[in-house]
Amino acid sequence: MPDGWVGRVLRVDLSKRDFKTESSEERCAGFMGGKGINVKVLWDEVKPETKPFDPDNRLIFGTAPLIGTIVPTSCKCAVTTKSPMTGIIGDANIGGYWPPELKYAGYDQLIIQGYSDSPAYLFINNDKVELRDASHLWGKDACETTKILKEELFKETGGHEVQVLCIGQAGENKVFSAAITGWPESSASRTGVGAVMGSKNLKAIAVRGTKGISIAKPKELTQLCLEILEKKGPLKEMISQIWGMLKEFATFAIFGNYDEVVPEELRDPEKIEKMCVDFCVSHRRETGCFNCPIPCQSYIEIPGEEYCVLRCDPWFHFSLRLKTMDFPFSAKLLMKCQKLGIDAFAVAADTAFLMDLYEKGIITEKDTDGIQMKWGNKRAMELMADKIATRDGCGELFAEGIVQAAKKIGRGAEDFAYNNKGMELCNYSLYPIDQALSTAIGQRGDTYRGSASYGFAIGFASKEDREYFKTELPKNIGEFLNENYVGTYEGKARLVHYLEKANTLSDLLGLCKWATRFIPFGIIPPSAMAPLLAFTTGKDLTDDELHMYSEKVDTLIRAFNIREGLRRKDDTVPRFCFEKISPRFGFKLDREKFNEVIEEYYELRGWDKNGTPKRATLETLNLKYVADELEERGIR
Amino acid sequence: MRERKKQILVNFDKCSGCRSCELICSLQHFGVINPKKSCIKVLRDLEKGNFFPLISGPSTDAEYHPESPIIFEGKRYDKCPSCLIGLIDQSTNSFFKEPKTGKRLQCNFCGMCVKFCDYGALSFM
Repeated sequence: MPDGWVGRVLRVDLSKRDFKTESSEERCAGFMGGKGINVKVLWDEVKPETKPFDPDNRLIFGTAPLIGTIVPTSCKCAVTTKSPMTGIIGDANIGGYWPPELKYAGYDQLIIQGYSDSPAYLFINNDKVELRDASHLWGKDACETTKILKEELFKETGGHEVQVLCIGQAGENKVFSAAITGWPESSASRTGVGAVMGSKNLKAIAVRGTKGISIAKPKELTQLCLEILEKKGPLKEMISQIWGMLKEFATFAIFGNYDEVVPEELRDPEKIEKMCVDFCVSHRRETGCFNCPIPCQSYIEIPGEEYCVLRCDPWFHFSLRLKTMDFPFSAKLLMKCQKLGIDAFAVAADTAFLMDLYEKGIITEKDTDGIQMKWGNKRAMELMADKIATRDGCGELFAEGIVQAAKKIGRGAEDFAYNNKGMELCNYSLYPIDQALSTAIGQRGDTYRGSASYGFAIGFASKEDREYFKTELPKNIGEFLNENYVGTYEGKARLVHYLEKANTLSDLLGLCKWATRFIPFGIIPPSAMAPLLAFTTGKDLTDDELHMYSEKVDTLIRAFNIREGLRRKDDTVPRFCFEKISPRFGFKLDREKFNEVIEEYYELRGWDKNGTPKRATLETLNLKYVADELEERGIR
Repeated sequence: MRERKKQILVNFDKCSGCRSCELICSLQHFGVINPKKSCIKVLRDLEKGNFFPLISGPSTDAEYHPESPIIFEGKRYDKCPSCLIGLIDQSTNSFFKEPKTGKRLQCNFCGMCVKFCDYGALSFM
């Protein structure tokens, strides 16, 4: 096995209480790591006949060659399964301290299958793997579970810290938006991975590892990492100026999906500044994930409350989407979601959906257990988080996602359940064309992670920033970065294709996309990827070869989704984008042109007009067996 | 002339708990990346968000360096305020032992952790 990887896969069968190790060499050579090796397992082992909550569904944690090394931000592990929410690939990403620990324990990948009769937790102590009774943890929230487990195992291991991932009440109740939480710093929230873990009756996974990771060229790697740390630049500066780029985000993320109307408080730059500064007073300590120089998290003090840990932007969704400009309150609400083990994006979107319906007169207090669902009603938001996670009262509506909720409500609510492939959308505007495109083709059903997502920021970047992007982007994409960037269709397919590949690449290597996504502020430039991999693993790859890996993984994911029944018609954005002019941007999407851009994107990917990967494409990517299976199943 | 004792000033207030010091230390001294084989160890108090990087002493018996100067909550201490933190009594000895052999790990003040600490929690005196 080359350096960087550790060479083994741990396969846990909960039904048989059986633990096996396999070699990871072949899978890692073909698919690199993270999302890549996970989706390979998913393709091979989870067929369309398997339902997401079947014991046969797999819950896969994949680490990557750079995880646990000295490369900055090297801690992002991919969590992959078949999603209950969308029925296609469920793919979330978790940082923090757990993924490196799994690698130090000697495993590149952890595959969980089967079903445990009673609540159980998994304890991986290097080579010793045990499935233990978790009845004392069942019903506890993520914070308590982590504390109890850490304490128990601290004593047992003779004074060593173990790292814990667990689910909260939402996961136990198999709520579709349940998350897997690494308290307090990280969680794999989207696509309902926590619900799958809950369906397997697995409460937590505790890991302790004392083995190391060998490095091919330590001196060169150290030198390169030092250079990256020194250069680092704008993001760090921004964060240290005013925590968490509050101001930047306050102006970016205001575009709610509901009415695109900027809340009154945010129209005045001075007011924003004051709000942010006031909020930052309570800020106590910058922190972040394992080996990360970007302090995207922060401990804050809220009077009368325990400490809150804020993470990058989920808490903004409560502020901005639900129209309450009370930042400390939003922070508290985010903490609540993290404890319940539920996706904060989903809670914000679901509550906003109800509020929207209420304000439109489609539902009344009778439908919402007597809660007045007015914009900005804080009590309602708090109650909704609890209700959704515990399937209580009107929370039950959302237990199976926003689309099912709309169906249950009826009365035309379906038109306002904005979703992509069944999953609630994030709080970013869909009007910038690149954002709309990356949402439409999003492989797991949203804009946030798999796709370009931040691309639209280019449009708002200063002239100098734009010049910098031009030098980093390939020429045929960079030339379209002009003042009219936001609303034009030219070059957008190429840009989204490029950014998607780049994002997948950071997934494959185990890096945080805050660091690699250079738009608008990465610290690891695209040109550093190949040398980082080469110095860590000794595997010399050119940039093109690296991109082939991400092309291969993206195409395999597409093939998996197609096999699950995803079709061209699912690649779209909510109808309002074509019908309503955005007050923020002053235009609406043109359906015909938009379809052309989607087709252009398929073309770039080597997919046919229906979005199915062509045989020739699959064969060039060494995925002949995929083409064969698609054909066997009559999909073409 | 007696050589002046080298010391690393540890500023607890600036530490983010990221552990890059542990990683580079193990790589520098043992050629592998393994935080369990490091002469510096970050204790994390997750509830309040306090982080305590401790350095193993060059002459102590595999313990944290009792004389390393420290800044905690704005105050400077010339000796480790372990009594203030109340965390360090938890069998510190095992922190600085090589997990397999039990060999003692001792800091030689090479300074790589200082270079890699991006938050400025570690500095040479």
